Amino acid sequence: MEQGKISAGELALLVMSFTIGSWVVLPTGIQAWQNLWLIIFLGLGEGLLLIYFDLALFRRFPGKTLFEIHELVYGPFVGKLFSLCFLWFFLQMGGGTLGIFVTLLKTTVFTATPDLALLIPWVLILVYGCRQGIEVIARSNQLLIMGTVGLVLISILLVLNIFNPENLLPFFNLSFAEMLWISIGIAAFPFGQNILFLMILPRVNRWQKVTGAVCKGMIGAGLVLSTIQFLAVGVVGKAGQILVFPTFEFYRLINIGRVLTRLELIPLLNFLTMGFVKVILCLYALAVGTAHLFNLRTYRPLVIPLGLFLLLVAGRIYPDISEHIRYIQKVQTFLVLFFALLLPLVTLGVAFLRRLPRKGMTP
Amino acid sequence: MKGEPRRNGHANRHLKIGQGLLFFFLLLLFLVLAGGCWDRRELENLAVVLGIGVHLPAQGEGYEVSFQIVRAAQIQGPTGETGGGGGTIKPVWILRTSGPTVFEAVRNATLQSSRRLFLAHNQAVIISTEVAQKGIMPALDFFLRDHESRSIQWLLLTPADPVEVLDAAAGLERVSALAINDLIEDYRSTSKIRPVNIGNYMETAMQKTSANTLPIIRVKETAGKRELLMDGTGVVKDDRLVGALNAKETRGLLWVLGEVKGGVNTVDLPDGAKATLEIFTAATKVKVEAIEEKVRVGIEVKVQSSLGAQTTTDDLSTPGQIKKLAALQGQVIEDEIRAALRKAKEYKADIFGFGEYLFKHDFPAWQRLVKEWERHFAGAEVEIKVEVQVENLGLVTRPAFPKETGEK
Repeated sequence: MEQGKISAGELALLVMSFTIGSWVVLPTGIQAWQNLWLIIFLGLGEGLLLIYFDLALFRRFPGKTLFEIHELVYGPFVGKLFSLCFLWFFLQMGGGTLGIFVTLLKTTVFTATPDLALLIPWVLILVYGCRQGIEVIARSNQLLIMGTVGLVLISILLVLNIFNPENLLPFFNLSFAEMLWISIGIAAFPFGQNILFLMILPRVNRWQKVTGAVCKGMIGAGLVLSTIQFLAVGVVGKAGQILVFPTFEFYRLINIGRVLTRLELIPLLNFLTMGFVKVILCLYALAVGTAHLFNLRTYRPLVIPLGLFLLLVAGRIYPDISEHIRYIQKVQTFLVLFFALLLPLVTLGVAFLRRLPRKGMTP
Repeated sequence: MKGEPRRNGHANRHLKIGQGLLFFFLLLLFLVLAGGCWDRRELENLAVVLGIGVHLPAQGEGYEVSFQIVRAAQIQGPTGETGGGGGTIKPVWILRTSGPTVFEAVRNATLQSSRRLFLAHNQAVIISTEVAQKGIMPALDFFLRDHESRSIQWLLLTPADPVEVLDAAAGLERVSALAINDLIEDYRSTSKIRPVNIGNYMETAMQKTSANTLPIIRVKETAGKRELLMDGTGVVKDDRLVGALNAKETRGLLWVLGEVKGGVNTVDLPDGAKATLEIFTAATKVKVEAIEEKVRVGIEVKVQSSLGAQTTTDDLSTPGQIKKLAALQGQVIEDEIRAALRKAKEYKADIFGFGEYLFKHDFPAWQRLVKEWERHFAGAEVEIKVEVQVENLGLVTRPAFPKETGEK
């Protein structure tokens, strides 16, 4: 198996990029609009709680991936069944993310380009990066996340002349139930999807620091997302509710003296890098998980076929954007909560009942 | 790779060569992909559209869309119409197409134009009043949806066929759409029109209680040439044109919205004389309150102005006279606001966004009043407070008359 090690700091940044990932392009809870930047914090709180539960598994079995834990808890056969479910989850997450970015590119810039021409180069880089191992992914991510945070900070300055604070009012015009429901949606996507890191945590050199690092990464991502949403509301105003890609549109509106305009491609490229990190982590988890499922010594030969698989899934998972939006609004919350809350809780419960881990079990 | 167990050197070298080859072919692939965009369009194959007019056809359904397309080769000339070697060819080409929707009309243009239309640089969308009476959003949807067109295009209204505006002489500019752009940007020196771009229009249209306004442009014949003229504001309620404001009422609207950036006020002095004061800075504060069923609006305007011209021989530079002038200008400003309010109430159109203010600052009250907002708006009590400070006299103190005449 892979031997690479990453530090807790690198893990935190990976969590941050992964969480920013595709939410920044196609957000959940857009119906809350001017309240969303506040609700993100509520969702962040719930998400932290959720991930804390999930990390309890890791704290109970330090140094084990989720799939190893499954086999320890349920035995080889049932454990592999559970792992297979998670593989499917990672696959649809990666495929969906890839799909979103292809849709974004297709609707905004490359309208006539065939999907495959956009997907193939992307998958080639994904496969190449994934074969390099987690160390390389983590280090390249450091650069990419710096770019994103820098961009968000710069955009605060760029929108000063078109930012209208009045657009942010009223702060709370939703009923408590609506707000709670939207915040749960945010806790699930993007924060709940961090369950994927249970496949990567054993690669961190000091396992005691893992929980803190993941939480730091999520808080960082929450701040970035909230800032972007805050700016988007102030700039676009109410009209943002009917936009398919609000963040993209708000960069389109930047207009400094009619000279500095059309900057939307810069954030677009930048968001693509966040999506890239998300998809590459999905691919990595898929490859490592599959290798473990079949007791392979290394995951590397699996990367290319799985990358191709991801490409096919990305092309077909959502036939159109409206299906995708409906999926995000109606289905995603339940799906993620099933994988990030229910299954880990069941595993934790069974481990508790069987009094695992027993002494001498960990090699 | 670092942590991988070392293989023997021989196999390793083979692997290296294989990887190198793979890498090389990858590079070749990227070369192909990077060399050209899939859907590339070169400048010489594009027809750059600078102005678009939307009109209804004389009979039948759908839209008639006119385009002002720039002839890039004719633009380069250094001076007047003889420049650039192009002789008498106009620097723009007017094209007119029709179709059941604006989008189809735009595409149908390719049947007449040898080059594909490129909309990303479009400056203004001009809508005829007929379209505006039928509904603006249906005509505008394409401009919001299309990825090429941008939401900072100006939106204007014209009483006649928009093609006349697009075809009008452009004054000092070579292309009238660019002239329109400059005319709108110069609103700050008169504050008698209110610029609206597509994004603003969409934003206001999304607000439940607000009504939209659009600047009106028309064509005026001057010395045998048809020139452009900005003339007042159209009021759009529920996406349909319901009326118009004249220059004075438009100024009133701008006062309330806090969008007055400059301009002049002329006040009446005794004996039919007049004085014109220039507005330098203006700040507006609006406060809307809802007490039970009654809407109360407080408008506070603070202006700093300067004396720009006078037609009397009196000395207006004394402190007493200046105070009087300030009071008179305050009265004029209040009149302007009252005129705008009267018109808006007549149309029952909340062009000032009072309802939106309630939505933002007093959400429970908004919820209570939103259902019958028209009635509440028409019955709103408005209190206006104007504070004018005349700060400057210009370069002279009093008109050039012997002192005896000036002093009475």
